[in-house]
Amino acid sequence: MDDFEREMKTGFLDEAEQMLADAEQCFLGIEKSVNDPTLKAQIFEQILRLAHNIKGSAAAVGFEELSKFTHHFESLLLKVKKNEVATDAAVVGLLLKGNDQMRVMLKELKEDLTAHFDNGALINEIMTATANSVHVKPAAEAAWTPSASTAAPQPVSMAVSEYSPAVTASATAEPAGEAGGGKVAVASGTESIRVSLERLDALINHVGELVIAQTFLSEYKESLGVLSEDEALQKQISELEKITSEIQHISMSLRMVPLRQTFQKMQRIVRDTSKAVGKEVIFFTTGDDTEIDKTVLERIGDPLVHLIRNAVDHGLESADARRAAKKVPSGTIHLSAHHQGGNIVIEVRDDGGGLDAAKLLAKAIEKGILPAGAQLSDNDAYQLIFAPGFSTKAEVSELSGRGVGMDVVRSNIKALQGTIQIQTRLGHGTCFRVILPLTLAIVDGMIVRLGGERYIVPLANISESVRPRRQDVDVASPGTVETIRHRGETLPVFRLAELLGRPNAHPNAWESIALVVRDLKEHPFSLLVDDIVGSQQVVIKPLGADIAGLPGIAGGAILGDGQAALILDINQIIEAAS
Amino acid sequence: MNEVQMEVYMKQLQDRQHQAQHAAATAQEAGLAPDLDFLVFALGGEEFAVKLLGVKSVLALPPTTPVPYMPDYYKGIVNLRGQIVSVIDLRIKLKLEFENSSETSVIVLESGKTCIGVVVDSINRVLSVKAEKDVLPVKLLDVETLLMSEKL
Repeated sequence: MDDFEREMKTGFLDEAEQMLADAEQCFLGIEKSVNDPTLKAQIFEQILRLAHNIKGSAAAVGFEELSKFTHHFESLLLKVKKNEVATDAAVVGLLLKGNDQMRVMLKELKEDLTAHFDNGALINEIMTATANSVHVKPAAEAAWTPSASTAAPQPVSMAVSEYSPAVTASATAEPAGEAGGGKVAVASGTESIRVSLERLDALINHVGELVIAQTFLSEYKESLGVLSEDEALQKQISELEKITSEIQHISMSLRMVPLRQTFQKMQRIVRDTSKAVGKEVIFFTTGDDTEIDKTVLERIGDPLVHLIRNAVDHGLESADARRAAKKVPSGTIHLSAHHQGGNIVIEVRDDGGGLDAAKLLAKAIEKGILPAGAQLSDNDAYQLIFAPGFSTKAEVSELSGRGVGMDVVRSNIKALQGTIQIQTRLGHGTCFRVILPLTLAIVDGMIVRLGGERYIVPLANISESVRPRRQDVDVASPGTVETIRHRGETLPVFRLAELLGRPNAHPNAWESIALVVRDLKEHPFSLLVDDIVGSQQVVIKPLGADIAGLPGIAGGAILGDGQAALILDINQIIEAAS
Repeated sequence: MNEVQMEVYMKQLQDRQHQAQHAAATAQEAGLAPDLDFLVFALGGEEFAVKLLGVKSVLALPPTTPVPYMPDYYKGIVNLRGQIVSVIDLRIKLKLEFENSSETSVIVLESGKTCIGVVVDSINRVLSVKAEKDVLPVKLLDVETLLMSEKL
C-alpha cells in the first residue's frame, strides 16, 4: 500500500466515523417520528444519503467488505423508507445493530487497514428483514419467496457495477474528499482541512517555546542599557509580544473540538439503559457546541457514560414511584455544558428522587465504611457515593455496575485535573457537576523557590499565599502538629521541602511563605515554601520514562530563563505524605 | 569544550551519522554488512563506545534541575531544545573517581522514544569499524539495555 492510498483510506475512516455518528442520531429520531410521516421521510432521506456516501466512498478507497455490507443495509433502508417494511422496534434495533457493526469495522480498519470481517450472519439477518416486505404486500409473496435465495448474491455485483463510475471519478479527481464529506460534514459552509494531532502538537510545542523566548525578551528589554532608550526597538518588542500572544491563543484553540459527538453518544446510552430498566426517559442536551481539548474529550467519555447510566438507573424513580410522588411518569435527564472562567462545566441533571443523606449514612455504616453511630453533615454524606464499594440500590443492576462506578468516575476526573460536585434535593433530583480545565497542554503556574531549587505549583491548587506572623504560628509539641492561625482557621503546616525530601533552608514557619490549599474534600492546610519567584503560564512537557509517574510530579516545563523545572501535583504529594 | 565548540562538534557528528546511514543503505543494497561507527568516550580512565547512530546530541555539562526522590547518580533534568531529558552520572553509579573539567560532557542517547543524557569525562573520537573484520578495541556500552535498566 503506498502513502497515497493509505492517506486516502485514513481520510475516509475519519469521515465515515462522523457520518455514522450523524446516522445514529437519525436512527434515534425514528422512534419519535412514527406518527409523523414527513419527519420520518426526512430522517430516512438523511440516513440513506449517509449510507450511500459511505458505500460509495468505501468502494472508492477499496474497503469492499464495508461497501458490500452497507449496500445490504441500504437496501433495507430503502424498503423501510418506502413503507414496504414496517418500522417497528425490531427493525430499528436491527438498523442500530448494523450501524454498530459498521462502527466496529471502522474501528478495526483504523488499526489495521487490511482487516477482514465476517458479516455473513448480520447480512443474512438484514436480507431476511428486507425480504419481509412481502408481509406488507401479501399478493407479491408467492412471486418473491422462491427467488429470494437465488437473488441474494445479486445485489453485490450490482453494487460494483452501479458504483464503479463513482469509483473512478473520486479516485482520479478528489480522493476521499468529494464522495464523503462534501454534503454532510461541511454543513456550516466554513472550509476546513484535516491535520494529524501529532503535527498539531509539534506546532503547539514550538509555540510554547516561542512564548518562553518572548517572555525572556520582554524581561530583558528593561536591562538593555542604552538600547532601552531606543523607542523603535522597544516598540518592536511590544509588537512582537502582542503577535506572540495572539499566536499562542490561536494555536491552543486548534486542539479544541466541540462536545457534540460525545453528547450524541450519550443519547444512545440513555436509550439502551432506559429500555433495559424499563423507564421512560426524556433526554435533552444543551451546549453541545461547547469546545474542549481533544485529549480531555477522549478521556471524559467513560465517566460521562457512567454518570448518565447512574442517572437513568439509580437517579430516576420507576414510573409508579413517580406517579405516587405526583410527578410526570417519565423522568427527565438534562446533559449540558458551558464555559466558566478557564474551565468547562458539564452537568448531568435528573429530576429523580435525589440523594437521601440519612439512607446513605445508614448504608455506609451497614457496609462497614463508617463506624456505627457516625454522624455526617448532609454534604459529607453525599460524598459517600464516591467511596469504593458503595452502591445505593438494594439489588445490583447489570447496567450501572456493581458499586465500583462512582469512585472510578471521580478518580478519572481527578486525573484530568478536574473536580466533581453534587447538588441534590430530596424528592426533586440530583445534579452532578463536572468541572474540567479547558486544556491539559498548559497550566497557570506559581513558581516557588526551595533553597536553590524552583518548582511550579499549579495556581488552581492555591487559594492564597501569606507570610505568617510569628504570633500566629503554633509550633508542634509532642502529640500536636504545627499549625498556623489564619483568618479564623487553623491550618496544619506542611513543609514542601520536607515532603519532597529536599534540604530545608527556613526551619521557622514565620520566615517562609505559606501557600493556603483548599480542596473541597480535604481539610484546608498550608504548605511552606521559601519564596514565590513569580507566576507564569507554562507548557506542560512529558518527562522521560525514568521519572514519569513519580508521586506528586505532574510533568515538566521550561521556565523563562530556559531551565527545566518540575510541575508538582500538590494533592498527590499530600496523599503520599499522609 | 565550551558550548560553541560543542555545537560545532555536534554538527560534525550529525554529518557523520548521515554518511553512515547512507553507507549502510548502500552496503545493504549490495548485500554486505555495513561498517559501523562508534562514538568513543572516557569514563573513569577507561574508554567506552556507543553506536554513533544512537547518539541524539552532545552537550557541554549543563546546569541540571534536580528531581526529588531520585538517587544521587541521577543528576536531574535539562532542557534539550524544548524537550525535557534526564541526565544521569554513570561515574557515580559505577563508583568511579572523577573530577569535572572543561572536557566533561553529556552524551544524549536515544532509542525509540526514550532519551537519556549520560555524563562522561570526555568525548574522544569517532571510530569506524569494518564489518566482520575488526574487533572493537573498546568496551561497547549497550544503549538499549542502559535505557531499559534506567527505570530507576
